[in-house]
Amino acid sequence: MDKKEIALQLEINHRNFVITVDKRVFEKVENGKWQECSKEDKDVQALNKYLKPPKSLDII
Amino acid sequence: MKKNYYNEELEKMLNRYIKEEKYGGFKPLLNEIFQRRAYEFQFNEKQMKKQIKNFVRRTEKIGFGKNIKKINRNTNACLRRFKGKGYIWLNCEANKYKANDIDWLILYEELTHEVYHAIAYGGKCIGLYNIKTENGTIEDEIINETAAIRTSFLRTSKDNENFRKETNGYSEMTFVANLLAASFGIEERELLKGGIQNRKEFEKACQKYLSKEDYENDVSFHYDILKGNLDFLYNVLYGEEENEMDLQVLKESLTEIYSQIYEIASVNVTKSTREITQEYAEELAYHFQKICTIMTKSLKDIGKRFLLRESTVNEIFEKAVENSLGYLYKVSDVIALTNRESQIKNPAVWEEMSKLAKQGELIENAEKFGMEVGKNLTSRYKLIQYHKKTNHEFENPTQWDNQDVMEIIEQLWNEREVIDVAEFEQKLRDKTIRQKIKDYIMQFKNRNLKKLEDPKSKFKELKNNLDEKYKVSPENLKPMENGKNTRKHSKESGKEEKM
Repeated sequence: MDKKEIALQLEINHRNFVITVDKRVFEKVENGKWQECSKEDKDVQALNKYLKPPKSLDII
Repeated sequence: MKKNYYNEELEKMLNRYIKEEKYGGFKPLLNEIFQRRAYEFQFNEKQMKKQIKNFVRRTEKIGFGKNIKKINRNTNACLRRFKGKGYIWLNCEANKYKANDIDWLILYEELTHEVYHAIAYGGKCIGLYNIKTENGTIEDEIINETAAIRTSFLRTSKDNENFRKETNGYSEMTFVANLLAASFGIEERELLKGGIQNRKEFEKACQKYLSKEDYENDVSFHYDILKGNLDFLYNVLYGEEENEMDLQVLKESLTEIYSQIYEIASVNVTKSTREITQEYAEELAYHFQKICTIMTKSLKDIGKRFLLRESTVNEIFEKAVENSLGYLYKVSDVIALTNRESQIKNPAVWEEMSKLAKQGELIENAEKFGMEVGKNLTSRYKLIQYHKKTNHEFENPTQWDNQDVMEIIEQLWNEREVIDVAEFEQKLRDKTIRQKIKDYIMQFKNRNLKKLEDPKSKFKELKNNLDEKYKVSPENLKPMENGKNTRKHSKESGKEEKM
């Protein structure tokens, strides 16, 4: 993951997350490395709220 | 009475393509929307023809609807898409539409916003949608809304003071569209014109004073980060349910948006293809002031709405100011240089000083060039603050003639047929299901017909083969021993004629 790709850094429940510009979620793990998170992860699911597109152009 | 922004050729074109039979009483409003769009954003007739045709091809219906909030609680009007066709709904349940001229204009503005979406929907015209998912994006929304406001309402002196006109929709986010134009060093009109067409035109507008290479290497990633944070901010402000992380996301995304605006503005000065002139310095002073004013006001407004602590607001503000320093240095350097323009006779020296100014290093090296100028931040701010500012954009804002627009809207409102949008969409889906069942039955029928046809042809083929095999020529016929001849036999077997 390139630094240029990082859109947002957040700390949730003492875990460090970053969300990339293409909406992937990574967590800081041992040795300061970033690992892509599983979609089943509860904290990641909570973050999904912030990744939704606006609704006014919905496809029915 | 003919309006001064009306184009007669365009009017003929509109009457040819936009039919009352399809859009009913909305036709004159559509004509007005297209006329204003062509005038304000300076589209030529060829471009308008393409846009009108695309709109007509894709837009099936415009109407007043109820239960829109069931679909999206945050919207008053929407463009819904179904099987390649668009349906524009104006919410008739909103309480704000009273018999009041201003409110009728809000309704007209909402219609304009959705028509702009519809114009850019489909084919190569895809607005600023996400091309991969075909979902809308918040950047598309804020660009459309800012453009729709611009072609609906008149600009007031208060708007000029604020460097922007407040919007009706996405009111806490549209400031980003105003900021973006300033940070790219272009007029809002140019940015909006690109954005209401497609990504390619939008990027072309953003790169007006940059080389393609510099844009791709030094600017686009800042813009991608900004876009990502717009999504986060949108979901905090307009998301479906509140979340305990909202405040944290709000704070981080807002900080990031302001930072990226300053980053883009700063790179835009360094990499600008423009020569340093008085005009450029005046525009820079205007854009700097515009960014600072809008940033401060938008932060204050959001802080008020979310009851942010003063310390949180200050933290975001301080971070933004910190990120603005590079831009401040460059803008004040350019102004300091143009202030001494008449004293610099040597082109090579001017060239060297220009280069340093664009990098924000001129005032730092003032002594080298015999310049007496304050180096601290206050001196730099003052240099910008008291410099002449050029704002080409709103010197003569267009005076829209809204009288008949409001009358038409009011009449449409009074005679409106209200459609339950949720039910309407269900019918569309049911129709599709019915069509699917019909298709399935037809497919089944065809298959059976094919099955029936096959044995028939096989039977014919078999029969022909048999006929051929057992064909007897008359010469070969011999009387039968028991006196029965072949003819009689044939008659009995019923095959006489065929023999």
